[in-house]
Amino acid sequence: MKKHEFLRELEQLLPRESAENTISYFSEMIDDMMEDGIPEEAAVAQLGEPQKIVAGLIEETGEAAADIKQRRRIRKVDYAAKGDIVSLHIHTVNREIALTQSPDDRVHLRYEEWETEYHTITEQNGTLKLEPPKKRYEPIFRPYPQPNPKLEIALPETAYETIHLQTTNGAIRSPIAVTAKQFGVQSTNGVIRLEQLTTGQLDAKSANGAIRCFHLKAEEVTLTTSNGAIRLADSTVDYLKATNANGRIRLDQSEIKEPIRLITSNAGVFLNDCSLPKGGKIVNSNGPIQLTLKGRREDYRIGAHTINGKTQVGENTTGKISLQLTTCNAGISAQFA
Amino acid sequence: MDKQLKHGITDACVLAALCRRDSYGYRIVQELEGKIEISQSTLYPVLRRLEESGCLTVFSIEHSGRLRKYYHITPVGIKKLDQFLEEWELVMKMYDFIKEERAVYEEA
Repeated sequence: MKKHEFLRELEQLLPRESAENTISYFSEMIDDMMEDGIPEEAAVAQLGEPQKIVAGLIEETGEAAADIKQRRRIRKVDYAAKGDIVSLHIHTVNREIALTQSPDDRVHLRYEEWETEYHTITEQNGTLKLEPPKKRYEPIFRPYPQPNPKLEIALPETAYETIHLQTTNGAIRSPIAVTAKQFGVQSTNGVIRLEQLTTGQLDAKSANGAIRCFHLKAEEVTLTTSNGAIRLADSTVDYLKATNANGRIRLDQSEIKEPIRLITSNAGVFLNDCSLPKGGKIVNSNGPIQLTLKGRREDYRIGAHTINGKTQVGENTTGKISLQLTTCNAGISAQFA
Repeated sequence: MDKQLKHGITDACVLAALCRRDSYGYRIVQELEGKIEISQSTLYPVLRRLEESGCLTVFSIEHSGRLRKYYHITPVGIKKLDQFLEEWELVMKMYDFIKEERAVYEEA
């Protein structure tokens, strides 16, 4: 067993309050043994089974034994894909989905042991599929104290064809750099957070959760939610269409190369330090529209329409780039820098 | 060996290993190897117990790009060692007595 595997296993067996202390002790011990010339796996082997260590800890310190017993039942399964994977179709229910970096060149799926019967995994022609059974069931007494189990997907760095992630009642998080021709994410009540994604086509849907993208590079992006905020930062997108009903839309330091399409109501639209070289259309109702754009005011032809609000977009309307801003019951402002 | 007795001896040995200088987990195990039955894994609960009872304190020092925890014996720890030695003084007397009497039985 490698050091990180050992520590992960140990962590899962420990009550949360004392896990950090214990993990740092054993991590340091392995480092010291390795520094003394003992190979990593031999050092880990010398420490013995994590289960035995925890059992000894309970016996010696009488520490939160009940809690440990409860957590001991949670064991993670690590499914490693057999072949090279270029497409992923992950469909799960009531789970959080998190992408992480793979420790090797395989795609790994990590889930709690009891879930093994809960979903089916198939692998065919470079496509990895995870599906819940058609007849769904959830144990009433879940063998874990956490509210939301997590499905972890560890990806090796490569260019993917299609990645599709779908869940309900759980967040979808991708904090790692991912490249895929098509990237689809869908959650009903969960937040979607994508960092460092490079893709041809991104389609993200959530009903009651926010959608946040950072350092996104994409050709075509469609973001749809109804009661969550939409945020895009430090991104470069060719085509962007974002639709929201009761949530804010905010873009920071981003460039939208083709005409932008933003639609929401009952919340504001804010663009900070963004570049819209082809202009576009922003429609809101009951919320303000505030833009600070890169470029020169005289290049834009701005049509600003609001009822019951002030417009502050400057006088010149002769530019070549068309930008249509519509709202009511709130103000519209556009500044250029 | 009786569990309670073993605890007492292990605790005292770990504290003794800190008398000369502050030390870290791996070095403590190496110094005690061969003297008592202890391993990298069984040392941990002992250190925890001693820290909780105020016999030692923990501080970290950077060592080759990572933190290493050092353990320092406190006056409470020293007192505990003195107590241990005192108790064993009595135990040794009892030992001599028992050994003597046992020998008498053999001869008789």
